[in-house]
Amino acid sequence: MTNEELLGKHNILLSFLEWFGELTQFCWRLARAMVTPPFEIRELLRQMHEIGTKSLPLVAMAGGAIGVVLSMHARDSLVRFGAKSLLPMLILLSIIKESGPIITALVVSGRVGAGIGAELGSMKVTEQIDAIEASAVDTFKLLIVTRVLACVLMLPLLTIVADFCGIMTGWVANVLIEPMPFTFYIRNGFKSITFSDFLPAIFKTLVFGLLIGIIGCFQGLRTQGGTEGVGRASTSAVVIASLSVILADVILVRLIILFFS
Amino acid sequence: MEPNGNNPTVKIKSLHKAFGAQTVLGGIDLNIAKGETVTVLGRSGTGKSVLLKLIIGLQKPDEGTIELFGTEVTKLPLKELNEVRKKLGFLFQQAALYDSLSVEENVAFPLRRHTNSSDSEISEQVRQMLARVGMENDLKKMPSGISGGMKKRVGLARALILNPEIILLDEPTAGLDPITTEEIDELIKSLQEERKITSLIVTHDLHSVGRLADRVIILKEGNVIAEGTPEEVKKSTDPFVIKFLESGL
Repeated sequence: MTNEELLGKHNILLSFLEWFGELTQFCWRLARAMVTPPFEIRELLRQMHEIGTKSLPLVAMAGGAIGVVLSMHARDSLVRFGAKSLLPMLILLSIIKESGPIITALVVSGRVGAGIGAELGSMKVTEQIDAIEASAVDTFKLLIVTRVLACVLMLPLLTIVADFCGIMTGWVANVLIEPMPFTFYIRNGFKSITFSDFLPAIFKTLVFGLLIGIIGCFQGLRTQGGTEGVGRASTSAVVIASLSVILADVILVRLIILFFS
Repeated sequence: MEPNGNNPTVKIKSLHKAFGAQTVLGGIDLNIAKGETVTVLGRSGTGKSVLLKLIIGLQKPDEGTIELFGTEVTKLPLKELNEVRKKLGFLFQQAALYDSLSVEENVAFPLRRHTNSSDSEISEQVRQMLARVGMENDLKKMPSGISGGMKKRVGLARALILNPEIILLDEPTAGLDPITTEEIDELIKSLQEERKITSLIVTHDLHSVGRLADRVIILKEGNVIAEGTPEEVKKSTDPFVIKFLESGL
């Protein structure tokens, strides 16, 4: 390894440590700001609308698509093993425990993570954040806390919508191949599903929401270098948020199995 | 006017600021009396905008102190700093209007945050202020739909809406045509006369200096190289000052 290569790796490590240190400080400041008044309720509601309501069609479509795909794959596999009667249960369990939460989180990290990164980034480079601060307003509470909280609060609700759409389209996809009464599909599907399947999966999405909100805001606030920087902030927000969601999912699934199985 | 009075509204002492190896301000001292208008001149990149941002607390100095109304602000906690900031108005170089809010909402923003006025009272105040800056017919427009000069006017209205005691204006007339420049200068002058506002104005426009300034300071490489009334500065024998003033006219 040449000296230049060594120096390059050294710089990458330093940059990562610097990024991580700043992220830790950011999280600490966020935690303090979240519990100290005044609370920006009006802006929080606006962000919940921006992040939640406006993501609804996309999340519903993604959930619906997953239901159809799962139904087709599961039917094919179960028929081979002569276990076709388990089809409703398999679809519902897959959607509720894993597919619904992870697909919702990935869709939201794409739409909202990029949106927050770009919005805050562009506000930073055009000095709008400075202007808010100069107006004697706590920008952290107004811009960051509200967005992160909105992500945390809306992710579970969006996941429920995705689950619902997935379950419904799963049934429709089934019916198109072979008639199956809806009541049979639902009763059979929910027969072995308990709250210990449903609740941990929904709580998991609170963590996903937190990660998406934090990464989106943090990358947005770190924006430097004009419009090019805004593009970089937006891209990095999506990439890091999506990766964090996937990694967190691995850890959370292990914890859920440990505590709820 | 007493430029260096006993109780100046703004009192800056040994202010240093560097970004990495580049020193932007190298130990500035400046006192501004109540109601006085000081203009800051200097080449681009000599720390004029940084000086304004240090005063309002958007950046922290490396050394030195800034007293506003007798309170040292550089080490104030955010909550107390915000109390001081309510008495300040700031116009950014590019106006920095909130692009998700209309012209009317931009100007109403400080009122909504810091007063208990009703919607109708806020609306009336905003209307009056926008009329002062000649923007009363553009209330519902978004910042993306108005020109640079209009943005400056709206930015000025937003800076003045809380009746600040000090205004910090960063190139209020840069990029504007001569007529609009004169109109904005007249507006600033009339507001100063009406409300006795203390002003610190960064500008490159020597005509504006002539119209507005009680006192002028010229910065070079982060240091004050000339200070005095416009007439006194014109008589400076410093080669840089002479060249600067000749180039600007």
